Amino acid sequence: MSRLAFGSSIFDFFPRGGLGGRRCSRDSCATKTPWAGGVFEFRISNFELPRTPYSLLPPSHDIFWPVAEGIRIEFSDVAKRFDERVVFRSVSGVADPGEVLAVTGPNGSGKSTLLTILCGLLRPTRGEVRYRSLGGGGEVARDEWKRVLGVVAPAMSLYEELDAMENLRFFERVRGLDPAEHRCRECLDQVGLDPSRRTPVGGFSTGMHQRLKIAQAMLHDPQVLFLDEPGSNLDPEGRDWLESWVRESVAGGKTVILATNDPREMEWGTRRVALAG
Amino acid sequence: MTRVKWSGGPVVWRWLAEAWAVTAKDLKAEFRTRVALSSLGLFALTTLIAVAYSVGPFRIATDDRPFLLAVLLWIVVFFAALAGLDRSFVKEEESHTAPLLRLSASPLVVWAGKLLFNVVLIAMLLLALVPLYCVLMGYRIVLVGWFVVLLAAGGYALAATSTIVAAIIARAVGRGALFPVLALPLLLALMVFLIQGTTAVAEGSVATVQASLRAIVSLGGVMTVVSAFLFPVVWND
Repeated sequence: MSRLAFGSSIFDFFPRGGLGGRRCSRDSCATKTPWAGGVFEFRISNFELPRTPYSLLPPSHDIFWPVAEGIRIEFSDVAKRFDERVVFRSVSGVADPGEVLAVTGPNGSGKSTLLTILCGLLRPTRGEVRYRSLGGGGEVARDEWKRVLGVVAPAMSLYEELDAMENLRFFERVRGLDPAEHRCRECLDQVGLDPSRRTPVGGFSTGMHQRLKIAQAMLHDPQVLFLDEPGSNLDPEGRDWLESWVRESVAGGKTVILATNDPREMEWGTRRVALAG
Repeated sequence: MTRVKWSGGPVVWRWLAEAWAVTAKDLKAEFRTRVALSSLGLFALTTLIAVAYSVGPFRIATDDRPFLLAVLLWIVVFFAALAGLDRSFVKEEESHTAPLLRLSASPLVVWAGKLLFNVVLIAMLLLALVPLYCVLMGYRIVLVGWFVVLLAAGGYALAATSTIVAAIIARAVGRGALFPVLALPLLLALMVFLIQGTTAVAEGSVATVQASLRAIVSLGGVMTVVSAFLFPVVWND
């Protein structure tokens, strides 16, 4: 779990890899407890506390009130075949909130295909994928997946005729979010792009493209992140920022599924699915 | 970081706002690249000039004018439309923006947005082409009001049919050739009724115009309903 020690404000109480694990900071706390028949993820933030009786507690007090949230992704016996070409025969796994599931494997082993299936863009030849809301909401309907997931992938492009702000505003509107320009600006600021720049995305460098894709994925603050080679084309500074963002997301209880062959990115994984190819 | 707020309010209003976002994005992109507009405009202009030069306003017998000029008008409109109305879907696939759109918007929102975009393109084509055609070919319309209604209904039906066909062919390998091949059989009936209606507005026969309009509106309605059911399957699978 030392990999997920994000600095002095976060503490790890249990080693990762088993069923138990708990992280907390002054502002938020996530605990994962082995429970009868499954794993429950609880998260609490001080600013989310009800006024009574917990408001009597000092704001910095590390309390553990079970506000369950997060999405667990379960996939079992997933197989994909394109005509005669078998990509993979049977892949199963679970990605829990507060975890990074790293999908690894040689080129052509089907990492991107698996992510495409898990995010609902492609139907598997066999097997099933389920999103379970650990907040007691039960299974998330397939139609609702788009509200909870954000995707960064090389095969997904943004509109080259529009500038960065126009792209984000479009995705904000089409996702059904309340139009909020300052949120788009914040996302662009976070990834290191200038919100006032009016150059169409077609004129961006590949690194800037990648940053904008990440901004688009964080726009609706999704609970699940699918990252397919997220560090590709990023400079060292960008990669450092990416790592800190992924770690923050994980600490915030998001479920991250990562397809990569980069040794540094592979280290972020708390679980791993290795595809043979 | 600012908290994310999902839109509230009536479902229909949110749905319309999301569909309009797709249309506005397509219009903005189109006015910056002008790919579909150039295809439509140049094709329409070239065929119109060819027709005006070869046939002209005086080479057709007066009795034949209402019918033959209606035929020529709709041939120009239909083939110009076929040259550009598939762009909105084809471009999404070619530029790899479709996957993200699939993940972000509901299928019906995308369909409605693209349909509205095609309606706007057709409207622009008809607004530019029809007056020019009437002037160059000396085409005299008796029932101008009915003609405008006919153009509106025909333009919508043409856009509705083109939109669903464009969605179907967008992911195919030979999409360039497939669009006219698939669209023409579906558009033939519409073309027949539009020619009949246009002939009637030139001759001043209100009853025939009304009959044609009923058929055109029915065709447009059927295409709309069928598309609304078919599109989610076409878009997602």
